[in-house]
Amino acid sequence: MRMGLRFAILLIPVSFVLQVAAQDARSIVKKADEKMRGSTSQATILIKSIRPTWSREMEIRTWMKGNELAMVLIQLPVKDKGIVFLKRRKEVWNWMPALEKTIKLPPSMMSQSWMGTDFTNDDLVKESSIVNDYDHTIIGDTVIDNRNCYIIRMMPKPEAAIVWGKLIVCIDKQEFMELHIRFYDEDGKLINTMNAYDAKIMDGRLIPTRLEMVPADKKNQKTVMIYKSILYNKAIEDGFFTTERMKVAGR
Amino acid sequence: MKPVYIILCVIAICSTGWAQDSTLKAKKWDLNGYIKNLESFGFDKNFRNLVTGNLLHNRINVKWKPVKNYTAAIEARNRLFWGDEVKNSPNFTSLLRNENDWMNLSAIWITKSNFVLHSSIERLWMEFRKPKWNVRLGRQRINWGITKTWNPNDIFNTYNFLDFDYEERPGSDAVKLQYIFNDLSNIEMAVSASDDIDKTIAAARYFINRWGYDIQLLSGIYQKKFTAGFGWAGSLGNVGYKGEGQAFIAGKDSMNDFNYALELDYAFKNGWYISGSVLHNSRGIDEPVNDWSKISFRFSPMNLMPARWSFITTTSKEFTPLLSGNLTLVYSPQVNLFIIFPSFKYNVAANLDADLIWQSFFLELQNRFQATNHRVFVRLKWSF
Repeated sequence: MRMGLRFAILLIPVSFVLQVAAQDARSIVKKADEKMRGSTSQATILIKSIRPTWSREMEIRTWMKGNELAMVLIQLPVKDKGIVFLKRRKEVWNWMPALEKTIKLPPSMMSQSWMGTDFTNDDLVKESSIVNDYDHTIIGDTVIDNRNCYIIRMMPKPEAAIVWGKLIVCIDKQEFMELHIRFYDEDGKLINTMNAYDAKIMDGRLIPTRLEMVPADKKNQKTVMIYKSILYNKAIEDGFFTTERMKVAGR
Repeated sequence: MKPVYIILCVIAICSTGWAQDSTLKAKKWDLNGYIKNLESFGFDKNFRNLVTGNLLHNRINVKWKPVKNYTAAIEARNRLFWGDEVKNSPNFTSLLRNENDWMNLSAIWITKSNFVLHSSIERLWMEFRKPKWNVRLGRQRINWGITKTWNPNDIFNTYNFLDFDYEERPGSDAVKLQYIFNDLSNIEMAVSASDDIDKTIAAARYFINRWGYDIQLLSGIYQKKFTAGFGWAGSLGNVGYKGEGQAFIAGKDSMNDFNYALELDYAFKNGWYISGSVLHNSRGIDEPVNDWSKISFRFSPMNLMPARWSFITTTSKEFTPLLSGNLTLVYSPQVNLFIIFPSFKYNVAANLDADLIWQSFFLELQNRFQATNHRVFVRLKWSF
């Protein structure tokens, strides 16, 4: 009993310190997430798929509100123009304009590559929250492009449906930009590395405008995402994120 | 002058006008389409007696937004057929017209024994849209289908799932009114015209999203028969779960019909996708036939497959972002009908796709399960 009490007293400050550190790591990630995401965002993004022998370009428009509502409209290439993806909470639909058909996608589709890129559906519509679905720990500092960064380890919470086993994220200490992310699978193997470049002021905030996703096991392959324009915190009603509005998003 | 000529002239003028002044009119006008070349090779059951077919196929889609709330669309396709297929079918041109059409908006420009040039207006509609309601009048596709292949709820414009080259599928001449109750529920009412009043279709669909499911209820009159149906799309865990059912209640002198389809689909992390469905057609054939001609692939909402029971599985895989493959297998027990339908798609350049498609048909005839015919298609598609 006495032993137990002493042990408990000893533990208090340690766990307190750990908790404060965890809080810090979480609030840093939260700040970075809020900066890139805003309460709502509307963006035009160029996506380049680069492979050793070929490359393709795609242009999309996105509308996002929080973690739960997202719409993605394909503008290029012309053969896919007008195709729309809608996410509303846990449900995802696809509008095929040529067929005038709404197709509900199975939940398992979220972990699939999105339109042949190195991004998954989940990366694009951000179903999982880097703030709420992970436990965060600061594990060091580094310098990227002359910016001092925190190195934060993110482990998915057991109850969260996350495809990754671990994330290592580098966040700029001053501007809270996510400049580097490593994605590991459940066996601890590195799968993807994301690097962010070209910080520019877009709609009043400094954000990286070029994100490159590089798969670890494929040589000379990457997907580049370039933000052509982005608007933050413009009110978008929930009614915009519906299967009916999805049908006219491309008009 | 037939109306089709006037409409085709309008499309031609719109297209050139748009091309000359795209920056100014880009917001009001939208033009896209494609040119496809399809080469087909048909064989008998022993891979002999080659019958070739050639099709040069162009589609032009024009959307016009003259003022706020109004949208108009014209879509036309021009097809040039030549080869044995045309030569061997004396009624070839009669097969080209869409049976759902009320107005004949198609034209045959050239008919020779082995050469046909045909144009048709596929869509021609005007839409008025307010936040709570909208109305669309003209040739349009009223797509109430939910599942991938067999759609008992698609009562206005059934399509042939084997006709892979007709991606947009047929439309019908109709008026459709939609009222939106809230973000997650709405009602659609539609009436399609037909040259024979007995062939009119009038129906309503109530749609609601609840408990993670899209749910719809349908009711109306289908060619003098009372019809009612239901459909849903949701999930069981991570597996997609969809279904549709439609009943047709006839008068005293004919029989009732009930069709339903159930479908499951799943996407694996490594890029594989599988789906499987079953279709029950209450008046389908439930025993072997003696003659291949008894198996008709001219579908209607009451007849989505010739057999009473049919199963389909589709497996697809994106090998690289440029190359994908798909294998569809169809089997109807009792009749013992089997279709194998593999295809490959390769993106040659940003706007150029090449496809290789195969269809082989097998059937039990005279107590023997045997091949009946095989078809191979090679297609190039340039989109603009």
